[in-house]
Amino acid sequence: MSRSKMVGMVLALVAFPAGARAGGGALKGAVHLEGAAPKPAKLSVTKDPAVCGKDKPSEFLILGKENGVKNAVVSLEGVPQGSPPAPATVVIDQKTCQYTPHVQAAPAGSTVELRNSDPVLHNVHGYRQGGTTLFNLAMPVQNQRTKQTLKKAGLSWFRCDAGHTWMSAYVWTFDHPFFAVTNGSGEFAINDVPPGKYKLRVWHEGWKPKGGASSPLDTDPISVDQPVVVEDGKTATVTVNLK
Amino acid sequence: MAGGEDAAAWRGERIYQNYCATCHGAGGDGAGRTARHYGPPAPRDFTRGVFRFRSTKTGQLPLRADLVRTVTQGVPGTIMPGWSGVLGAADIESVVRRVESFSPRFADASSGEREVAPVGTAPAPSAEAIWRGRRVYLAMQCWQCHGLGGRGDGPSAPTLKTEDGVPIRPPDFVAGTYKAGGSAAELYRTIVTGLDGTPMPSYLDSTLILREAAQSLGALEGLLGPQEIDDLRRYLLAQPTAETYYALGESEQKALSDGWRWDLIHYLRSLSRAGAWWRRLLGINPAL
Repeated sequence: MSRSKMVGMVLALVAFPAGARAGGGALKGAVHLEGAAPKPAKLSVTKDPAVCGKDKPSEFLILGKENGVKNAVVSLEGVPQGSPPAPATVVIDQKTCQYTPHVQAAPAGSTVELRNSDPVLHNVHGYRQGGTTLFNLAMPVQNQRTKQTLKKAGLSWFRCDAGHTWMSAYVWTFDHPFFAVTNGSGEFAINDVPPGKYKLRVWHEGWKPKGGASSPLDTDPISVDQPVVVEDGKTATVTVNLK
Repeated sequence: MAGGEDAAAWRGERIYQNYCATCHGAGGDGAGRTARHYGPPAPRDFTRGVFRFRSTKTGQLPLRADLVRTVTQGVPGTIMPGWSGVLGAADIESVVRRVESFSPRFADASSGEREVAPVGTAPAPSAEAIWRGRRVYLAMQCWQCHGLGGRGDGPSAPTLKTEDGVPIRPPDFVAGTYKAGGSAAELYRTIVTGLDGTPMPSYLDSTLILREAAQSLGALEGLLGPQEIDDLRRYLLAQPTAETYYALGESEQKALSDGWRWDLIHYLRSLSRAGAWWRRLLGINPAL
C-alpha cells in the first residue's frame, strides 16, 4: 500500500503571459478526481445526538464542479528563498461536533486558535507526523478558546477523544510561503514564485480506509509529485488528477 | 570531564540493559521480550518522545526530575516497579539519561522547551469542599469518561484509545490506585498537564465552571435524580458568567480555577476506598 501507487497525471502544462512581475512568476491550477466519484458516505453520530445530529457527511472526498477536489494541500519543493514566512493564526472551531475548517495550511510557527462552539465536552487531541501526541487540551465549556503553536513544518491532525470519534481536522505547516489549499472547485494559486524548475507536491487525506485501521478516520493519504516550471512574469498552469 | 561523562553513560547503558530492557526493549522501543506477556498499558516506547507523567505542559517533554521520580517510585497499577530499593540515586540519574537518549526530541532545542505547570498548595479538605467538588465533576463533564460514580465507566469510556490505537479505560477512583500518584498535589499535576498519549487532556486553561453550563444539563436527565440535578443547577447559577470570568485579570482567573480544581480533587479523593482496613472499618475517610 505505497503512495507511489497513487499516480497523478498532468494533463496540461501551459504558460500564460501575465505581465512583468517584480516577484517572479506564479503557479495556478486545479486538482481533479480521475474516474467515477464514489458515493458520498456518512459517518454515524454515536454520542450527544442532541448537539451533533444523527450523522455527518464524510469529509474524506469533497468534490466540486468537474470533480474538482477540495482540501488538497499543494506546495512547491526546492524553491530558493530568503527568510521563512512570518507565522500566522489559523482558527479551528468545533461546531455541531465537527471541526471547521477541515484542512488548512500555514507557515511553521503559526498559532492554532481552538474554539468550542458546542455545549458539550470536546477535547482537541493533536498529533504530529508519526502519530505521536502533539498536545491534548480539554475544552469542556461552550465559547471557550485556547491556543497552541505548531512550531515545526509538517502535518498535524486533530481528533476528539470524548466519544466524538468522527471528528478530524488537518493543518499542514511549511518553512516556506509556496503553498495553498484547494478550494471547493479544486483550484489553487501560488504567487511570487522565483523563476525555476520545481516539484509540485499535492497531498490529500485520501478516501480509502487504511488496512487494519482502528478508526474509520484512518485513510491512506495520497501524495503526488509533479515537476513544474515557473517563468519570470508568467503564470504557469497545472492540472493534477488523483485516483 | 569527558572521562566522567563517558563512564556515567556506560553505566547508564549497563543498568538499562540489565534492568529495563526486558520490558522496554534493548532499543528503548517498548518491545522487550517480556512485554507481550503483560496486558495494557504496554511498557513505554521511549523512541516516541511522548510521556504521560510530567510536570510540564501538554505536548512537552518531561523534566529529568519527572523521569527520575517515575523510575524511583514506579507506576502503581502497572508492572513498572519502583527501583529505589535496587538503584541508588546516582544510578537512577544515569539510567534516566540513557532513557532520554532514545528519543531525538530531548536533544532538539526547538522541541526541548519545557514549561512547568505550577501546582500550589492544597487547602484543607472539608465536607463542603467535597460537596462542591461533586458539582465540579458533573459540570465539567468528567463523568462522560470517568463515569457518574468515578469507576471509569462513563458513556465515552468504551471508545477511548491511546495514541497507538490501543483501547484504554479511565482509572477507577473508588479503587483509588493512581498511576501518577493519588495525593492532592499529584492529582492537581495530572489534571493540569494531562497524560500525553492517552485521551486524558490538559485542563490547565479549562477548569471553568460558568453559569451558562446550567442550560446544558439535559445529558444528565434520567441519569441522576431530579434532586441532584436541581442542586447542580443551583450551584451553577451561583457561578460567574463567561463574560464576567474572561473580564477578570489573569491572577483572579487562576484563583477561581484553582478553587474549582482543589474542590474537584477533594471529591475524587473522598471516593477512594483505598487505605488501611481499620480506617474503613471505623468509617474514617482517608481524604479528610
